[in-house]
Amino acid sequence: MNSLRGQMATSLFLAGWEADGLRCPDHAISFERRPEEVHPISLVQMPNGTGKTTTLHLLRAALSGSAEGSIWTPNHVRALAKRGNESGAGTFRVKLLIDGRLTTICMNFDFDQGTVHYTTTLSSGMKNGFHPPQAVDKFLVPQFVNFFVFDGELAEHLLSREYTDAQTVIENLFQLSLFTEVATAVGQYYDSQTAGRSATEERGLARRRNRVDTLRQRIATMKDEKATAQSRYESTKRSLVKHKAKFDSALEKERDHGEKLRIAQKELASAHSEVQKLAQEVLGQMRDPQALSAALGKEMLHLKTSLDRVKLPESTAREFFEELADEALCVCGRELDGEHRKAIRERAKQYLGSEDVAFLNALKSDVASLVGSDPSIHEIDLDGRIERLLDSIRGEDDATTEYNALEADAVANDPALQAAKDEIDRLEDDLRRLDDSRKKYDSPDDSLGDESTFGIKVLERRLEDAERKLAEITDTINLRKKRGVLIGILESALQKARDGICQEISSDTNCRIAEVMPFNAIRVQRVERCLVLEGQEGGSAGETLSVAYAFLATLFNRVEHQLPFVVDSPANPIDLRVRAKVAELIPKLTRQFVAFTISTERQGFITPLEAAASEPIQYITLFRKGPIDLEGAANRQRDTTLTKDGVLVHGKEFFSAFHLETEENQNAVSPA
Amino acid sequence: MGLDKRVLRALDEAVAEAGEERPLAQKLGALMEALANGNARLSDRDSAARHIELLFDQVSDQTLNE
Repeated sequence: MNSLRGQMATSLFLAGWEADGLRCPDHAISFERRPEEVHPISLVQMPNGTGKTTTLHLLRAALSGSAEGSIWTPNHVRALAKRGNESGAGTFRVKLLIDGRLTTICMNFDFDQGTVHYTTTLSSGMKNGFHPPQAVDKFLVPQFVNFFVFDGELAEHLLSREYTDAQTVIENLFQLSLFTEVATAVGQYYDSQTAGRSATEERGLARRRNRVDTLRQRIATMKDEKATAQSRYESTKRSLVKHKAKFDSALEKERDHGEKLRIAQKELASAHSEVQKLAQEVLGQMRDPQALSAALGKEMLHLKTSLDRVKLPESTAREFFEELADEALCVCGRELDGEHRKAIRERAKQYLGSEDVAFLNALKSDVASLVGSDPSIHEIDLDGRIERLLDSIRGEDDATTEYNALEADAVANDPALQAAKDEIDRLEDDLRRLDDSRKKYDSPDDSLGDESTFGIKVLERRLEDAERKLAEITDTINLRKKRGVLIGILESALQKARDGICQEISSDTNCRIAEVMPFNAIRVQRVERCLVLEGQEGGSAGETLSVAYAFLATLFNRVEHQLPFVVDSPANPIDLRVRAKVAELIPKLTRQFVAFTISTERQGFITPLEAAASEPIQYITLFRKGPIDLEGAANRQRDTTLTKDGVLVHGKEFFSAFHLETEENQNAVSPA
Repeated sequence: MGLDKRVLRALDEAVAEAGEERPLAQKLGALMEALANGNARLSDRDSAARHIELLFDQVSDQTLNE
């Protein structure tokens, strides 16, 4: 039973079609025997001249969307109009059951304009254009529809090296294009991950590794050198202190100068301390902008006054609107939908958050307390302190001069003191040099190359950057290699899958050919672009059709999903003996078989087909109005539909009796 | 609409030949099954990136021995 609900695999069945205003007679055919259930086998008998080719052409176009846009020329479209079509319009509507749900694809013809446009009606409603459900969109494309709306021409293509139809059907049915799609996505992922990275090659990796190694080594050397310099500095400093102590002690022993020197040293120390204290105060006060200039203080007060005037209300804080966007209703009572919420959240950014408001209030408070009402007093105060600092510096200079003069006098009187003084001077020179030497390792200078840079922190920053870049390129190269592995796997798997499937299908197809034509040695050697036969280029029309049936039966039996199989003249070119075998094959081909037949095909085909079919066959006969005796016979049938220019009769009796002595020009029905 | 068993076997074989572990073949197969069934789409960049990232993660590290 072809009921589709509840099945796992995707299924596509043809529920029927309707034609109106077109070259074929107006008609509506339904293949549904019950809702959501189609006849497994339907035979539509249409004598030559009834528009069978037109109907097949329209069916393919409706199923594939091939006429969408302006692909068909106006002349092509107008050629499909019914002779004498006065409305200038026509429709061809195909009803599909896709996983049990009805989908209608309609082609609407405008013969005046020479255009056709599609509508697609799904359970969700009607859309303009050709929009089949995603589950079957891979199959509703021109190159695939030809395989399930099938004719003798396609059978010939399958065996012709000029066409790639056999390969195409395998690629489509087994979805081998997924390998390429995934490989493309792998490439795109790599590109997106490495976009903006500067180097991706091995050479770049080696260069960056070398830089990291060099920097690590340089930093280690600089740290060692700094430690040595620091050690020598400390040692020299200790020696200097020791010598100074000895010198001061010897100096104090000088009777004439001892007391004076002590007093001068005390004054010098006091003056130095005063300078230090005042300098700290001045530096501290200079951090206040209002102390540097009264104009700055005035501007700060102006800012505070302006902020007071703005009066930032707490209730307009951003959080209010963000919370509002989470409510079901707006404050005005209107219901909020997704679009409203998005707009509110976007616009909330224009308002200050509560943190911003608190900050501004603190700023105002600070300006008020620090600047006060008179912004000029801070500048005057700072000027006064600077004056006092300058005075104390001058006092320190005087005390230094006084002390140095006393010390020089004392040394001049004692050669031992002179030697000690010289040693102290030498040690002080050494200490300055060593101080400079150790300080270069703390230099922030970042202008020189790695080999000329001594600042350890600068080098460490460079190392951090170099390590980051090394990690980046290592990651990039890793990603690139992984991309290569993945794409290699996908390409190899595609080849293996294609070869394996083609080999298995060749083998199964040959089993079916042997079943259909047991006394015929025709066999498929392999599947490439086309079906390659063993030892021969092609076969007779009957052999070609039989091979094509065997091939398609193999394919359709192998895959899980269900597709209809619509065939034009399924038995016409086949001799009577093979017809019976083909007829026996048809019920195994697919779960819905629809064939366009002519009366001459019935012989040797219908009886074995009925015998092979597990369920009753649906018989339909469609012919143009005109022959009075034929219409009369049709009218005597129970299930006959008359349209403007066509007669549609259901039932085996009429189907079997209907024949044409010369189909092209005369219809006739045998006497009942 | 699942993938043909020969497609899945081809993935197993190709992954093994590349010296990679079987879970990579399983992840590739699962992604292709999802694509075939319409449960995943590579046209959506973010979704595609998530799927493909899993594949990259499954491939053995290529620079460890350098």
